[in-house]
Amino acid sequence: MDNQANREKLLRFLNTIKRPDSRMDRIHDDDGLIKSGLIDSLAMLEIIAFLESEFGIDFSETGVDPVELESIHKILDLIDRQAI
Amino acid sequence: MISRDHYRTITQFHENERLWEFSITPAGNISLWIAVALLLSATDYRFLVPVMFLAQLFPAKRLWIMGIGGGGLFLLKKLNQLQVFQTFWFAIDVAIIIGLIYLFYRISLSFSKLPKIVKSNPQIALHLILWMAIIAILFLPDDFRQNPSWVFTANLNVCLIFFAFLVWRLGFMLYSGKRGSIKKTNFLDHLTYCLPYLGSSQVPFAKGLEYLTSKMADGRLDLAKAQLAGLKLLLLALLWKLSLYLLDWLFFSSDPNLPPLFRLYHISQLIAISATAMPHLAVVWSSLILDMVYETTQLAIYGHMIVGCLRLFGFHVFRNTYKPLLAKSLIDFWNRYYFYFKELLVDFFFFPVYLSFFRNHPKLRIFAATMASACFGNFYYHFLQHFDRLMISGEPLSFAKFSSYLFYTVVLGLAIFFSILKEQRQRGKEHVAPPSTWRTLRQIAGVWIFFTILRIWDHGDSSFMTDTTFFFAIFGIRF
Repeated sequence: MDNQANREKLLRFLNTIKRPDSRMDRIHDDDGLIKSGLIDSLAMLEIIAFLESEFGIDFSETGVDPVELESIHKILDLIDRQAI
Repeated sequence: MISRDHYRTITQFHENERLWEFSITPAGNISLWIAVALLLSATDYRFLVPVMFLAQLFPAKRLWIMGIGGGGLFLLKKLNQLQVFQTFWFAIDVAIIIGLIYLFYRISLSFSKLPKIVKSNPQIALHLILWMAIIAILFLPDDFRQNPSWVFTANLNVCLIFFAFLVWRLGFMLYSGKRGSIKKTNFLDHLTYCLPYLGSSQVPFAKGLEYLTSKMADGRLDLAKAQLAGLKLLLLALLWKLSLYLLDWLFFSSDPNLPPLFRLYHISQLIAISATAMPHLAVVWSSLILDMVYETTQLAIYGHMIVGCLRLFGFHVFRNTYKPLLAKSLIDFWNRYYFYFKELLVDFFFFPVYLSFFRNHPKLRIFAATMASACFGNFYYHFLQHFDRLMISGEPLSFAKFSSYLFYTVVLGLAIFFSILKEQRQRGKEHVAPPSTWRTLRQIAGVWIFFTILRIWDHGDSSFMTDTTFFFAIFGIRF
């Protein structure tokens, strides 16, 4: 799957877990997802479950590095590197 | 009358672009350091000011300067606290502690060559080594006594305490080894967080090197932003200190010459007094709530000083305590109250369990991970931390104290689990209108009352039966 398709898939997912009072259209790819208030730190769990199920990423080998899940850009990088 | 915009301009001065630019001019920079020196002058952190200034002069060597300068100050302070200041043994202790960090640095560098069982469970292996060392000391004469007569045992105890102190930091180092990022680092970089003059608790503020370097200021203007944000935290710490004086003056003063205007009690005093004569319930509830505010303010001051100094070194790190009064759910409060302790539990207990078990059972997966962190990890952390207190103040390990804390962690774990589920149900919903002020206030009050009551099982003189009896008494039930 190409980067653009992954990005759209990720954005659709983020839209389902974002904080009710935040707006997707105000987020840039390099913005911190938590810092910008789009999601809370708990939503990280759902991002992990999403990456495991949709892209087959196995975090049990490497553990979770929250820095790698900080922004849309970094998550897409992770998908590029680790997706099966 | 100050308008909302003016108020924001004053309180958010660190986000003012003109101020960023001014603070990189010679006059601005001198003003900044004068303000920092004044704010830190009455604290233990004053010794860090020249180290911070040096780090500003040589930003590329910032980590080394923090590691050597901060590390040196840390060792002096900590070993002085443990009263082992004979020069010979001091040198031996320092060599062993640095040697221990170096050993784990080498192990982390060669992570891929470790046996498979260790590679799969590096944190468990690390804690097994620590426990083997603890058990070995029990076989030595004088073991964990505070002032053993055999100087060798005394210093061995000191090194063991440091090992217990360092264990979470060494854990972060092993994570860097596992991810391979440690290969881009030098040994001296790791002293920055392993020997932290900035905050001498077992909780690594700003976590390990990976996190710290990801927050490092890049360039002079970016450094100015971080420094101004640090200055703001130091000012906030000063403001909270003044509010503590006010609380003392109004309610908690223990000075017999200056009694408070209205006598309230800190939680340990309150529970001790209540065992013989229960004060009026209004006094009890006011004491519980205001003591919770008092303790949260103390924690905020402690965290603001450490994070403020880290920002002055040029790291854009999160606050440890961030507006806990605004928390609308239990999990939100836990995030805002003691961020770096929560992060420790999440990194070492929550995620390992979450990633390894019950993948096909989402609720069970979250339950197991939450109980592993908020309950087991929380209890284990405090149990290990107790070795420090045992040696510094002679406070014995007691079943009564830990049984009370065990109850605290079980209730906390369950409460956070249900809070996570509730938050998950609400996430993604589009709100037509924001919740009413009344509803928000009710949510905040509920969170504070929950943690105020739960603290009954977490205070300096905890004992499960006494604490539980007191809990019923505050609802008028006595037996």
